[in-house]
Parts: sequence; structure tokens; C-alpha cells
Amino acid sequence: MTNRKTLRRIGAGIAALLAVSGCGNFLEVEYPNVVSAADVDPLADATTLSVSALQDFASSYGTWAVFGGIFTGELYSADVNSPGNLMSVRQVDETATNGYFASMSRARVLATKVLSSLDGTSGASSVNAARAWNVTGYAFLNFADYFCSAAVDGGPELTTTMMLDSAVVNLTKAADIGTALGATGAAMKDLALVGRARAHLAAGRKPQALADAQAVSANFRFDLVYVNDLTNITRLGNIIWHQFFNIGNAAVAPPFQNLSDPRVQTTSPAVNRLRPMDGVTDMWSINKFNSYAAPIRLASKLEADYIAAEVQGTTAMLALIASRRSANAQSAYTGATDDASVLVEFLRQKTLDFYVEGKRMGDYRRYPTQLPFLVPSGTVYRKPNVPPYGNGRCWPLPIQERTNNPNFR
Amino acid sequence: MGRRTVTKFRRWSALLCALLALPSAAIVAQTTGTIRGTVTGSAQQPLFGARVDVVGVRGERSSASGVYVVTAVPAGTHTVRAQTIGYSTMEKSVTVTAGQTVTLDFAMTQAAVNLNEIVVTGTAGQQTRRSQPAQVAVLNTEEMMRLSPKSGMAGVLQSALPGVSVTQGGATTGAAQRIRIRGASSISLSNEPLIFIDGVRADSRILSSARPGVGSGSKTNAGGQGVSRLNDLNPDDIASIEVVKGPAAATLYGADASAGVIQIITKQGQAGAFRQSLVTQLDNIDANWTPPDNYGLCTQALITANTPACAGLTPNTIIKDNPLLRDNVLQTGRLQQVNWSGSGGTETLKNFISVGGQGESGVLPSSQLRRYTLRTNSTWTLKPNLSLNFGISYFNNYNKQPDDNHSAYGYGAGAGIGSPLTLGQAANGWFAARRFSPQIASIRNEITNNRFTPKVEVNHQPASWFNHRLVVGMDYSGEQRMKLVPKNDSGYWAASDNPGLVNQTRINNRLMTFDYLGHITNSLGDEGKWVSDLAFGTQVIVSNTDLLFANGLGLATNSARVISASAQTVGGEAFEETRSIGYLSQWQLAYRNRVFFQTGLRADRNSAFGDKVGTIYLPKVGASWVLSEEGFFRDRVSAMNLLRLRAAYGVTGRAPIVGTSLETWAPTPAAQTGSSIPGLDLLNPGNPDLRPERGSEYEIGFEAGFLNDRIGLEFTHFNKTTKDLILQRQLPTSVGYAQNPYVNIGSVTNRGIETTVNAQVFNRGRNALDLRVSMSTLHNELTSLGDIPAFGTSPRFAEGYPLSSFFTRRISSVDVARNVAVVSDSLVYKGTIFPKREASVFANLTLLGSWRITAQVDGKFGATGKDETFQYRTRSVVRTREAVNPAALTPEQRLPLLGPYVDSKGAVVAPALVEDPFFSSADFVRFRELALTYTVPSSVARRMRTSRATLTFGGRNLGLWTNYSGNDPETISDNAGPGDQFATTEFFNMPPTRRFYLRLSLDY
Repeated sequence: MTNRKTLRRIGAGIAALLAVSGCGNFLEVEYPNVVSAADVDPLADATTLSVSALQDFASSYGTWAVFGGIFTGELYSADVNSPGNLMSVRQVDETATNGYFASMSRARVLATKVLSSLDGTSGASSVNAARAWNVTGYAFLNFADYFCSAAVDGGPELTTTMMLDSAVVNLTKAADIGTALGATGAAMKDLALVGRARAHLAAGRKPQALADAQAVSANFRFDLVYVNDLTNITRLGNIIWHQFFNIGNAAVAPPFQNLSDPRVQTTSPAVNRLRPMDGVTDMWSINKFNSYAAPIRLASKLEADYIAAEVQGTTAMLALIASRRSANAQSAYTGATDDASVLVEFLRQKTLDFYVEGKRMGDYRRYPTQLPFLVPSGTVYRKPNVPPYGNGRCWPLPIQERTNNPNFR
Repeated sequence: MGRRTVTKFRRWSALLCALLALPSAAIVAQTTGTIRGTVTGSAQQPLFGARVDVVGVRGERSSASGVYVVTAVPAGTHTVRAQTIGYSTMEKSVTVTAGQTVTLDFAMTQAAVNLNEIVVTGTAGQQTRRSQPAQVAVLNTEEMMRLSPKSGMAGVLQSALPGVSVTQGGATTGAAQRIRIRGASSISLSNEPLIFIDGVRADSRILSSARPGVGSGSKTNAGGQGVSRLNDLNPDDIASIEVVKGPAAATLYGADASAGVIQIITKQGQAGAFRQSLVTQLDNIDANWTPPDNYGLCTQALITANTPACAGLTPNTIIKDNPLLRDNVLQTGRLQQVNWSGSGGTETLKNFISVGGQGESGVLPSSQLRRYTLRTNSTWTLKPNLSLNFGISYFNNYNKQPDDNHSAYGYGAGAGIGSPLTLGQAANGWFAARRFSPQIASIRNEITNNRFTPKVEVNHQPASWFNHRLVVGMDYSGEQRMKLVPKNDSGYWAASDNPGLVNQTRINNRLMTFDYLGHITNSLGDEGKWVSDLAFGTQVIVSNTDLLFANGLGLATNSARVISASAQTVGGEAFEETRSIGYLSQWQLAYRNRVFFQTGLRADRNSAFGDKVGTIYLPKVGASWVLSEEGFFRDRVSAMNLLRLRAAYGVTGRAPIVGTSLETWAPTPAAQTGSSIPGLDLLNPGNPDLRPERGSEYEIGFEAGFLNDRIGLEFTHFNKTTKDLILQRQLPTSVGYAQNPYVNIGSVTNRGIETTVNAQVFNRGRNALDLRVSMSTLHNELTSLGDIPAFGTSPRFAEGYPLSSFFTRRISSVDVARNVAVVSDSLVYKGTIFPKREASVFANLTLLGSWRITAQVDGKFGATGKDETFQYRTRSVVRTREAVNPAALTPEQRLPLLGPYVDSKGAVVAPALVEDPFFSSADFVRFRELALTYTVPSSVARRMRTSRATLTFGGRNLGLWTNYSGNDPETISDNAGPGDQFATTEFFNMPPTRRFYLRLSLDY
């Protein structure tokens, strides 16, 4: 073989190799694990996206209810480490709140994306839009109840007042669409009204709160729903039950253990055999959240009644107290009837009615000294190496937001 | 072995020999002869695996008894060259007579530095070491297994080469090791080197032992411990290992090689009589650990409450317990291993076959390993210029591990946070009620792996100036992973697990390699003064993994543990694929075989790159000069018989994680009453500009030989800079994505020196002493994070500090009057997990020709360790003596450990921020290994009907000298995947075990 022939053959071989290995689509591979953003059609997928946003909210809400409950004394933390125990003594710091803030933010952002996609289309007045507005509105409302300040979309710091105002704006949209839709949108309308009543009440706008509360339909109740799905237990399951049953991180606090009140039925550790993470906390559990599929009540006519009564004053409070005690086989209230005493009993009844349903942080913000079942500041904590109870009123904005948001630098 | 058994064995051997040699019978020509001889080395010991080439004809390798045979050598005078790692190349002339056998022995002399050994890694094709501008370290594994045998790959690489740092993953049987070459240079991507076996990219993943891709502590894995596919390999099948340490040498391995490349070269068949080796080994494994005691305080309240553990005690009596020792949990582990290999064939067809089996039970219950290996390598020479090499290996592994020690279902935490105050009650001193050793052992984390690695290599030389080769291979592994938490009615576990759960995962992983390389060699000038070598080729790597899993919860019985027998079942699937293609070229110009200039370029494309990223180019350039062969040098420097100078520069990369360049949503369901419906969630905003990390490195160095090669010195200085570091830019949480986008930002520097001194202290008759002293330094620094702020605490990533540093509020003083410890006002650098200096000493003493003693001592210095076990037991669960009875401590002891803490302004500082008391220097010196090998005299060996017999008794991890306050400074807390690559703090982990072994090697 001559050198020239060999060279020609080498050249041909190389050309063939380059041609084969450099085939145009050789580097195109599939990623079936994820959905490319390009494949999502915001209009066609509006229902999927709005339901997903609500699910994001529901997943987040359960965690907020648990840790809000720990913060306000409804629950004991059975955590071994700092975060849960510092939450117990109301001394949570900015390094421990990102998980809560992130999950609620995700729900709000997804709902906002849905709304921006529907804007200018017929979908903007659909039940999907109403659902998304409720998610954004309730996200703002919860930010206002739980966090000392917040931020959205990497924007500037929002005060509690600004958050409440944003909640009102978003929930008004939901209420309007729900009203326009009639029976189809009734649940969305009532959900928005209860939320807006809460927002107005927290902002001190009592007349507006009363009006919204009284406009809520009789027997209205909106539950966040969960399912027992092993693969997605922390997304689809009731996180309150998860914290008790799977993690052993939270337990019913002593004031709520073994009550005869049907609203707060509990089970002792001798019966439920739950294991505390820290090995020392008695794991009393809540009967109303006894499975991954147990719903959590987000809003109801009953809450609207409480809001209305609080606005209307002592007489209305006493009436609701009597009603609630009677409905739950409790003897009539015989305590003092001065405004302060009635308020405490009123808040006690509300706590029992909405035990670990995520409402108590808002009440705590309004009545930090009157709210019953709170462990007083300065009380020595029951576990070693944890500081005494403090007087924190809200959760600080997470350090991850402060560090990465250009408006905070 | 009885005589009858031996006879049977020999019959089978003869049959195998006949089969393997069959093709040769008809091909023997009467115009040829045979060269036969023995290759011996230091202290007249036979050298195993030495390559003996009849120049221009062919070559063979020597057997365990040092014997080589080259058949079918054309009659006439030939030059015969013998070479092996660690010895000077020898050449002799011999005249072969047709039909005759001529004897030609080689008594080789040790060479501290051998520039003529062939390396195949880091360069295009085979090159002599003298021509390599960048250092490629070569490990003679065959020799190592003779002198100080290892039972796994971690041991083979441990302290064997400077700059290659191996940390064993813990005491659990089958636990993965961590390998770092010249430090870590990536935060987000794996720092494990690429592994090639005979030129084919091999699977070296480190993954959870139960189910991969699930975070530590999840109930679907085994906690933080992992297994490494690298450990599937049988060290007895390996001839040598070449290690490419950095980008300067790894350029040709493309955009994924910046962490280095390890090329494993397996044993090949040899022509001639059928030779066999039988190796059997027994290990005795000791936990080498005394678990810490748990303390408790019997208060008046506990005594009043009739707490059984406090019965009869006076108030404030301290009691203690040690559940692991009390219940005799720690046991003596055993390893049994047997390996048979055979080699034989003709000049046309050479075969190697190896079969091995290994069984190990660990020091913890429910800890077990079984491994079977089969390897065949065949070389078929079709024509003088065309040969085919076929290689097939099959591995079957079964590994069973308990839950990791820091799992609440593991032994370490189960015992380490138990309270003695519960003795006599349901927990009885353990962490949880009725969760004792038998219950913990009942959890099964099992992985079964069937791995198949076929390979075909074609070598063709169509012209004297042109040769090329094609390698096509695959590494396929099919894994079955199972986790079973058995049901029970006694509440052993968390309530959710008591009904019993089973998880089954099936993973198929395929790595396919297509590698073509051509060489054009030209001699220029008089007598080939100049030699040009142009190499070019292409390399295609395809990697894909599919995973299918199913979970079952709620078992009717523990015997019916299939998923379908569970009350609730769910399943899932995942798939990922990466494809890369690279075109490479290298041109080398040699002048009189002593001055070499080399340059190369690789162009790479990869499916993991962002859409806007096209081809990346990776250049390299270098030069090598064997100065000692220049006349002016020889005339002037007589004490130094060898000196080579070298310098190299090169660039490699590390491809992004699959799919991270894409903007993605996660398919996550939503709940409706009683069921789930499809849903979507924001996942990652993506980055179409995502490029690979680029590591560029220059290295300079030299090899020098003194006193006629009795002392050799190798020195390398390297400086590696990794740019375009892939990091997740932290978005404000309020933006709402579940993941932060990956961006190319920041840089890391690794620089240091590597030195090895090889010395033949004496070599008189049948006695010899060889020493190898290695030392390396490493300066690792995160030089830039771009606009990303420092993140993390322990570990923390901050500009100007090593990757994964420890930061804490440092205790500055103790104010007894105020009863506080004063700490710094901000986080202060405390240390790094990476040793800054490593050193090892290896000695090989031969006495009377038959006795060999090898010893290895190594040390790592400049690292900091964190004893989180003590921290957790002191601060979180109060089990240490110090925490239970702080009154017994002086204020100077108590306040730093337990606080309260204030900063310089008097503000209270949370204890969680003050971890200072739990750090200590992780410097250590370890007596790594001692082995005594006795070679049975040849006369006795012959009576045993063997050609050679050796017996080795040795021990590993025999001593540790350290000031580290925890169990062991080499502990890795988590090592179950890339996400764990910076986890080294000790957290209820057991230290490395101690082993004593006995090994018998018989060669036939």
C-alpha cells in the first residue's frame, strides 16, 4: 500500500467518523423527569396550574399551622434541635424561617403566574382566576399574621399594613369574580370574604370587617384537602398529622390534653404509641387530624361569626360564647362579664374551635397579652440548653431573603 | 489442600490449559525458536509481570515465579528488552536457533526513576514516560498485591501516590471511600475522579446503599452511608493503575476530567504454558472502638417517682450506661476471599481468565458483603499488523448494611443518645422503647448488583508510520436495592413505620464508550534525530440511567414482603441521559529521544451544556527534557545519573448536572378529596448559558536519580485554577422557585507540591531494604464567589478560604465574674476539612530472600475536625458527663462548653452559633499497615506441586497518633452521593476498623 493510498484511506475514515459522531441530533436527549417550561400552556393548563397553586398553599399551610401552634402554645415541640425549641419559646431567629416563607411564596408566585397568563382573556373571570386570587390573597394574609415583614418577587420590604392591604386587594378580586360566577363561584366568594374580613380586622378597619363577615353565606366552610399518597406525603398529606405521626416533632401542649370539650379531642401516648423525636416529650395527639387525608379548615362561617362578634363588642362576644359552649356540651360561662374577662373567654372559645387550624397567630398579633394558653415570658423552658420564653410576636423575614434580595442590600 | 484435591485440580488445569493452547498446536513453525528465562529483581526475588519484549517480534510478561517464555521467535539474533515498573530497563542480545530453546535471564536493578516505562493514560496512545510533560503516576498493583495485599480498591489507592487522597467511608462493610486528587475544585459538581478500565469509561458512582437520589436520613435509604461501584473491582485482576492528577495531563479526557482520571489496566493473557494462580485470604476485623458512655442524673424527683434506674440511690447520683457494650453488639468481623486466575495461549491467541469470590461480615450485626467476579481478556493477533482484544468482566455483588449510625434506627445514635435513666423501663438505656440491637438488625438495606463490562479493542498498523486503534466498550450495571423495615406490634419504630415498609428500586446504568485514535509517526533528519508523532481521534461517551421504584406500606407478615403484599403501594420512575462527543488531536515532536515538545487540543460538546453553549476547546502544551542524557550534563554532574525536567499546561472541564440548564417545572400532583390529580410546580428558572467548569493547570517538575539510580527523587509543583465554577445563585425566597438556578461564577485554586523519594537503602545478596517517602502539600482556596455571598456555616464557602471551611463564633475569653463566655462578634474561620500536608513512608525489607516485611505509616496535617457526636450528646440530648454534671466542671471548663455566651458588647449569643468547643486539630499519624510475607523455598514449592508459594500475615490500621478529640480524624459522616462530598464531621460514626489477615498465594 502506498503512502498516498493510506493517507486517502485515513482521510476517508476520519471524515466518516466525524460524519457519524457529529450527527446533528446526537446531543439531543430527553429529560422525562421534569417539564420544560416551553411545554406549559398557561391558558390550556389554567385549571391544572390554579389547582397546583392551591395545593402549594395547602402544603405550606399545614406547616404554618403546626409551627404557629408551637409558637402560640397550642403545641409542644418535640424537636431535638434548636429551631423547634426556639419556636416554642418565641425566640425564633431569621435563620430558621426560610422554609415557611419559601413554601408560601411558591404558592403565591405560581398563582400570580396563572393570573398574569389569564389576564386579558376570558379566563380572567373564571373560577380558576378566583381560586388563584384567593391563593395570593390568603398568602398575603398569612404573611401579615405570621411574619414581621415580607417581600414578594424580590421586591422591597413590606410592612404588616402593606401586606394586609395587598391581601384585601387580592381577595376583593376573588370575591368579585366569585360573585359574578354565581353558584359556581359561591365558595370562592365566601372564601374571599372571610379572608378579607380577617384582613380588615387585623388592619383595624372594623366596619369593613363586619360587613364582609356578615356577607358570608350560612354554613360556609372551605377545607384544604389532603390525600394519603405515600409518594408525595409532604406535599399532599396533612402535615399536622405528619409532624405527629411520622416525624414525632410536635405534641399537644398540656392545657389541651384530655379535655372533655369535643372540639379538642386528644389521644395519650399510651394509646397512640407515637414517638417523640427528642425522646422526652409526651406525644399527645389531636384526634381531628388523625390521618394524612384529614382536611384542615381554612375559612368558615363560624370564623366570620367570631370576626363579627369581635367587631360588635362584649355583648356579641358573650352571645357567641354562650352559643359555642352550648353547642359543645360545656356549661354556661359564669365568669366575669367585664370587657377584658369576656375577651379572654372569647379568645379561649375561639382557640378551642380552631385548635391548630392556623388562626391563632393573627389573634396573638392583636391580643399579645390577653390570649389564653400562652406561656408567660421569662418562664424557664422544660428542656435544657434552651433559653426561657421570650416575647416574640412574629417571625422574622428569613436571612435568605435579606441576603439575596437586592432591595435589602 | 489434600493430595486428591490437588490431583483433581491439576487435571482440570491441564484440561483448561489444553483448551486455551489448542489454537497454537497447528501453528508452530519449524523456522522459529523459543526464548525462555527468569526475571529477578531486588534481593534476587522473581519479578512478576515484568514485560519482556523481543524487539520487533513480540513480548510476554513474566509469571509469578519470574519465568517468561517467548515462542515462535524467528531464528537469528535479537535484542530482548525487559522492563517493569520500578526497575531499570534492560536489554540483551540473544541468538535463536530454529527448533531450540535459548535461556536468557534478567537480573534487573531497581530504578528509583524509570523513564522508559510505558504509560497509556493522559496521552494519545502509548508513550514512554520520558516524553510526558505532565506527570502520570503509575501504581504497580500486581507487585502491591504480592507485598501487602488489599481487599478493596480503597486500600489499593490509600496513601499510595502523593496528591491522591483517600478517606475511607467508615466502619460499615461495603461503605464507600472518598477519593480526591489534588484537592477539591468544585462545589456543586462531583470531585470524584473519572475511572476508565482498559480505556472504557467505568461506573464509579457513589450512591446510597438503599435508594439513590434520596436525601440522607430518609426512610427510603440507609442514612448517610453509600456504596461505590469502584469497589466492585477485584484488585487481584489489576495489573497497574495510572493516575492523571490534573488538567495538565487530563486534557484529552475532555470536559469532564478536571477532578483527575484513574485508568485501571487489567491483567492480560500471556503466550506459553498455562499458568495459574490461586489466592485465598482470611481477615479478622475488629471494631477498634470503645463507644462512649451515657450519663444520667438521678434527681430527687426521679427517685420519688420510683424510676427503676435510680432505685436506692441518693439524690443527684450520676449513673452511666453503655448499651453497645452491655448488649455485646460489636462483633468480630470476618472476610474470606478466594481468587483463581489462569493465563495461557499462543502467539496468535492469548487468554487470561480470573474468577474470584469474597464474603465479609462486618463488626455490626446486619452488615454483610458477598462478591463474585469473573474476568476474561483475550488478545487475538489476526495478522502481524492487526490484533483484536476482547475483554469481558462480570461482577455480582450483594451488600447488606444496617441503617447508618446517625440514623435514629441505627446503632450509633440508638445507643449514643440513649439515657441510663431509662434502664429497667421500655427503652432500657437505648434511644427508643423496645428498639434494641435485634430490632435495629432487623432493618434490611440491601443492594444487589450485576455488572457486565464487555470491551473490544482493535489495533491496526496499516503502514510503518501509521497505526490506529478503536475501543468500543460498555459498562452496564443492573442494581436491585431493597429496604425493609419490618412490621411489629411492639412499637419499635416511629408510628408511621410500625406497620412495616418495603422499598424496592431497580436501576439500570449504562456507560458506553467509543474511542478512536490514530497515530502518524515520522522520523526526520539523520538517524531519526527528529520524530514527529501526530495523534488524532474522537471519543464518544453516552451515559444513561433509568430507575424504577415501588414502595409498600403496611405488611401483613414480614415474610410476605413483596410490594404487592402491602396495604398501600406507590411507584415512581426516573431517567437521565448524558451524551458527549470530543475530537482530540495531539502533536509531539521528539529530538533524539530526549527532548520532547507536545501540544494538543480537544473540542468537546455535551448534552448537559446550555442551549447557547456550543463547542468548548481544551488546549494543552508541554515539554520534557531528559537533561542527564545530554553530553554536557554527563560530563559535569557525576553524582546525578538521571535528570528530567518537565513542564505542562492544560485545560479540562466538568460538565454541568444533567438538565440544569433548562427552565423547568416539576410534575407534582395536587390533592382532591380522596385522590390526587396532575399538577405542576415551579422548579428551576434554568440557565441557557450554562457552561462546564474549566480547570486550567500548569505543573512543573523533575525526576532525578542519584548514586546510580539507588535514590530517586520526583518533584512536581502544580497550580490549578478552576473558573466558571458552577454555583446555584441564591434567589430571593420570595421569587418562588423550588431550586436556584445554576450559573458559572467564581473560581477555586489548588496548588501544592508532590514529592516522592525512592531509595534502595541496601541490596546485598538476598537481603534488601527499599524505602519510599512521599509528601504532598495542598493549598485550596475559594478565590472568588462572584456576586454570591458566602454561604453555610459548617461547612461554609467564603472567598479567601478553603472550600468547605468551618466557621464559628470563637470563644475569646471566659468571664467567671459574670458567669459568661465571651465570643467573637461574628463568625470566625476555624479550619478546613482538607489536610494541607500529607506524607507517607513505605518500607520493604527482604531478608534471606524468603522473608519480606512491608510497613506503611502515613499522616495528614493541617485539617480540622468537628466532633458533632459530642456536641449533640452534650448540648441537644445531655448524655455526656460534662452536660449531666456541669457542677463538676470548673468555670473555665464549663462556660466555654455550655455557655451562656455573650459577644463583646454583652449581647446574648445563641449556643447554636458557638461550636468552637467541638473543633480540634485533625492532624494524625497512622500506622496503616504491616505485612510479613514468607516465600516458600522453591524446593518445597515444587514438592507442593506449585511453582511458587507465599504466605502473608498482616495488619491494617494498627496505630493512631492524634490530638483529635473525637473517635477518628478520618471519619466521614455522610458519603451517599455528590451532595455529601463536603460532609466530614463526625456524627455517631464508627471509626475505621482494624484488620489482621492471612493470605496464601499459590502459583502453578
